[in-house]
Amino acid sequence: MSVVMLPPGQLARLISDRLRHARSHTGGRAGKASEIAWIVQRSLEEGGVHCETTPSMEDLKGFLIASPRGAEITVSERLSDDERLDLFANLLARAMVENLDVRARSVLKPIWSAAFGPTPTSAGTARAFTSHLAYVDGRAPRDESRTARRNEAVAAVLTQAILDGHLELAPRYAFGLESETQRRPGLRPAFGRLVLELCHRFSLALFWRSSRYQRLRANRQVTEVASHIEGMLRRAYAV
Amino acid sequence: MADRDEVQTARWQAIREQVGMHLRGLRLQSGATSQARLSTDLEALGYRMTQSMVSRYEQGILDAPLSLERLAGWALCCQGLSAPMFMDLMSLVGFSLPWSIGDLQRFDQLLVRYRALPLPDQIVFRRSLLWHVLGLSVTTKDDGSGGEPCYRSVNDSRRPAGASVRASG
Repeated sequence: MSVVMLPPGQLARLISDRLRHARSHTGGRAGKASEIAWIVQRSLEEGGVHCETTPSMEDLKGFLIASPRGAEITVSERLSDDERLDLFANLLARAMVENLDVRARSVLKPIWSAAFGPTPTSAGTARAFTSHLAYVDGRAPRDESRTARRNEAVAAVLTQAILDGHLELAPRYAFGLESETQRRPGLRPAFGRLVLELCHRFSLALFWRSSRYQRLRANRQVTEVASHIEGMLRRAYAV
Repeated sequence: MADRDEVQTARWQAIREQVGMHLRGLRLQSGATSQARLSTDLEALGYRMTQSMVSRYEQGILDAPLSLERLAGWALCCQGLSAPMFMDLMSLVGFSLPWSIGDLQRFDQLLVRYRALPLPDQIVFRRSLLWHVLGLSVTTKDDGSGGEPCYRSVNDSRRPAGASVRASG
């Protein structure tokens, strides 16, 4: 049985749904960390990510390697259940962040695509090979670049959204929710989709660049307002 | 030698000195890794390669032909997967890896960065990376128990897991 990894955003949605579901069965309380970690590990395995533990690592908490040949997460045996849970979610978030940069830059892509058709690179932005290392606290190299620090900050926000089971606390495009499932015909819905897509892309670009916006976007009231505005736009344009 | 074809033996004898020169070049270009260090790294990855064998391969005097797995392991330990010398070597022996030059460069950058890690961490990481370099997919047992990983050629799902395979181009 050859295993192909689900897109990281899709896998994050699956895990987030399951965590929310698990919490709803315990009356909103967080379940035992070992159970939650088990749910996340099982979901990763189902999503095509092979997970294993090793007693041999010293400076690393774990790492992710993903390629067209498969994906695997290796974690240190010394981690507690809570740490393991955080690490699984963080490595998944880092895999999502990998291609976020390209997507966050392409705010005007929908207009370009509408005018000139899809660009040859639009479908092929995913990298063939990615890897991420998670260091034990205080052991990470100090010479990390600005980009690496920004990736880490964005991944931290996404990690929290996954663990909370509330992906709406981050822009939906960060989780790969880019395409409309049903497209209504007509000029008005098409224009509505364009407006929505621009809003989402702008939100993603801001989220990528600004730590203030990341905090603002993670606020539940702001999320509700954003959701209301989206609903109004959808109704107004019959999207 | 009894189970090797005469043609195979003759071909290896014809190219082994050139192969040895390339192997030596590969080792020396990566910050001059010593033969002892290379042998230790290879053994940590699961190869049976003593320092004396490293030396004899480089001199082109070993009778046993080098396998794809050994070549990939050698280049991995020398951070030379994207080196032109490794490309020449692969074409000389008639092997190929299922990766673009950009991917191989990314592997090498990664390996250079992780030289700073403690040895046990490096070994765990390189062991995992090796299977990706060889182009084998990670598979789990059908019972979904998530037990021991096994590796299988992505091009031939009928091949028994764990068997050494030649990666396609």
